[in-house]
Amino acid sequence: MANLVSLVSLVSLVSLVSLASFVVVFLLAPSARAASPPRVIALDHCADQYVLALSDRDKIVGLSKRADDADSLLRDRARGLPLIRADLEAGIASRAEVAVVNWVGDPRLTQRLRARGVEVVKVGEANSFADIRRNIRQVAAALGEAARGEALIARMDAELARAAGAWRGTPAVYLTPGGFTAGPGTLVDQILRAAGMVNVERRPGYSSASLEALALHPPQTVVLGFFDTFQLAGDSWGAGRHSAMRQLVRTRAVASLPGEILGCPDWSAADAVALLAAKAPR
Amino acid sequence: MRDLALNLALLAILVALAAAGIAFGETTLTHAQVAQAFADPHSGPGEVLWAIRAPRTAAAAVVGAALGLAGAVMQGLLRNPLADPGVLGVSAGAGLGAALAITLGLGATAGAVEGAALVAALAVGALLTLLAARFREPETLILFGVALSSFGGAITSLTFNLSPSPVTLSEVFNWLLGSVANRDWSDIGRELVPMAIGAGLAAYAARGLVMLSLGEETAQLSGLPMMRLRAAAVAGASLLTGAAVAMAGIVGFVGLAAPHLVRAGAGADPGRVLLPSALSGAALLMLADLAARVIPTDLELKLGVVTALFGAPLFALIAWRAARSWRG
Amino acid sequence: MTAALAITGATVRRGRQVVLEAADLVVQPGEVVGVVGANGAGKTTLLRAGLGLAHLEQGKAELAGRDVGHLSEAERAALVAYLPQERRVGWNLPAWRVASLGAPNAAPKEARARARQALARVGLTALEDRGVLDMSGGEREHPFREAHDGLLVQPAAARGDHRPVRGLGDRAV
Repeated sequence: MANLVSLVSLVSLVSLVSLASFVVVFLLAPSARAASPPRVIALDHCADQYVLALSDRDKIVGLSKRADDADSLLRDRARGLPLIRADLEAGIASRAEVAVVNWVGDPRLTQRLRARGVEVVKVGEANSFADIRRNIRQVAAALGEAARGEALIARMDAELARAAGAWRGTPAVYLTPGGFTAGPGTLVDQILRAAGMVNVERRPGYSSASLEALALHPPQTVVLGFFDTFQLAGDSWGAGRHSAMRQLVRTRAVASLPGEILGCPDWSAADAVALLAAKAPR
Repeated sequence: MRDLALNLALLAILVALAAAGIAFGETTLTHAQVAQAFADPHSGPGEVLWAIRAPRTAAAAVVGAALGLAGAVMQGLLRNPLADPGVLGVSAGAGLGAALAITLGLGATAGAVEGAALVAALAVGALLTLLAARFREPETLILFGVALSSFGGAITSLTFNLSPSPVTLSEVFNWLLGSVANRDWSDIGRELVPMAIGAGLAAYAARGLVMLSLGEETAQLSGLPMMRLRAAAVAGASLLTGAAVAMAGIVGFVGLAAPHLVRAGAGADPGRVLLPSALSGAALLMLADLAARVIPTDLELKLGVVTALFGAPLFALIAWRAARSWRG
Repeated sequence: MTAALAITGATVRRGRQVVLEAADLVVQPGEVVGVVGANGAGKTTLLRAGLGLAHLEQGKAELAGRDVGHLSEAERAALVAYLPQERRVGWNLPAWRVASLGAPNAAPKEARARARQALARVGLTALEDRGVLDMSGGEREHPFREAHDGLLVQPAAARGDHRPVRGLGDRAV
């Protein structure tokens, strides 16, 4: 009789403890992403900016090695955060739940990360401010920070509104140290237009500036891009080296847009517009 | 007399190509604009003809001449019609120098990339000169050249690997494909002195090259200062190649093809073939640059690509003919 | 009388193989010497050792009483000419050009004239412009022989007033 009682007590105790443990474990388990922001890593330079702008510091478990470079817009915020290589091992070891990526080359990396349960968010190329808004909303949603995303967009739109029409239709051309220019269908083209300029370059996309065309019809106004970060965007054998081009840059440049606000398809494009507008003649 | 006729004919071709090089380009000028260009060299059209097209054509000529001459010297020294300036590793060394300069961020400093290419070429040339003194057999020199080329290629691949952004990568890559676009007169001026010295050394080495036709040992006992002549040949070819690479990046096949085209006219004489090779090299590269400008692709064809596309089949033809003559 | 060529105790090694061991040879001026032996016996090595073309592990070689290793290129060339067994030529040079290589220090016109004379002496004037690789073996022999003779003879001609070899060496370079 005593044995039976002991047995029943034992079984009940074990069941109760199990049930309690189960409940405790369930309550303490990492909640679904809807409940709290996920741990996140950024796999490249542009992804760094999105992650640094939208996530809390304690949720950032990895940034790319270029997060602290001179042309990283939010490099100050990157200080003290872990910088990791963009490979599978580092990605898994960081225990990230979300990985943000813009241009990291190997598609297998993103495939493998997904296979291991990491949500991979791609920041798309942006050729317009509408694309940028879409990017921000997409990444903000994946990071559980929709409100911050909207705030970022609002600030960007405010900057654009202030700058609109500043140059009153002045024709201008964009040039990089390597002699590249931007035509319709590019973000740079949108930046020029948003500041009230008219882009002289009619060929779509980014192309090598025609030395001969510039010599025959030199533009009145030149906007420089990447002249501060030549190493990363210059082509020392491109059209920019020719004395005719250098002459043009010396005499007709009205603004120099630094690499940190031109390099990525994000809200820094609005900073570029603001910078450009500030140089407009009163 | 025959030499003079050959050289004059080549010179005439060069002049015609130079005219074509100035006449053709991205933009088509109206008659009025052409007249303006001649009347006022500093006007818009004047700049197009004299500051953009003329230096580009001149650069093609000068680089082609240097490569053609270097190729003729190499072929004479190694007694092998398949040798070219790249075979001894000088081109690869110069390419490495430039790649390193670009990756270390020196692309912005005027003349830094070119200077690095030239210095690297000279270093390789010096090494080869020492080797040539120590080892007389051409096969040994060729093997060292292959080793040096491989080493240069390996380090260049390393710079690609460690390149921080796709832009630096594409810049190094562009440079490795060779081009004379966007060169102006100062670029040419910078390399004229090394090229002149190289040409002088090549001319000095000419009689040694001819004597080598009879074989290494006979040449050694001929009374000519063979060690000095051999050193001059290697040093001259290195200077010429290094300066050419510094100006235009890596352009292949010109050094191989130019001597071949004129060898029959120069009586197969490795000394007499030097000047005609320089002239035919200049003509070849000017032609290739014209093709690069005129062939309607979205992005302008790189010079090295054009020479490779036409040069590789030509190389096969030369190898075929050479093999047949060895059998015979 | 000083021997024209004196090889004493010469040992030559190629890799680990000893191809010549303690070989001696003395050739007096005016002598014609034939060296005969089985294939691979070391005849060519002996000759090359005497000319300073092979490295001597032991022993020494002297030309006209002077150690061949201490002669300058010009001095050595004044004392000896060498025509290798195989008639190898790198390029299909015309016959007159090959023959004219016997006078490398003469003016081009003179060298050419002498070459044409030499070829005429053996009745090859008709072939003087033909490439040597396009000739038969027998025909080819003559331009090479002329080159060889020229390389041996021409320093003596340049010596003219019998100046010592040392002086000639300084000037020829």
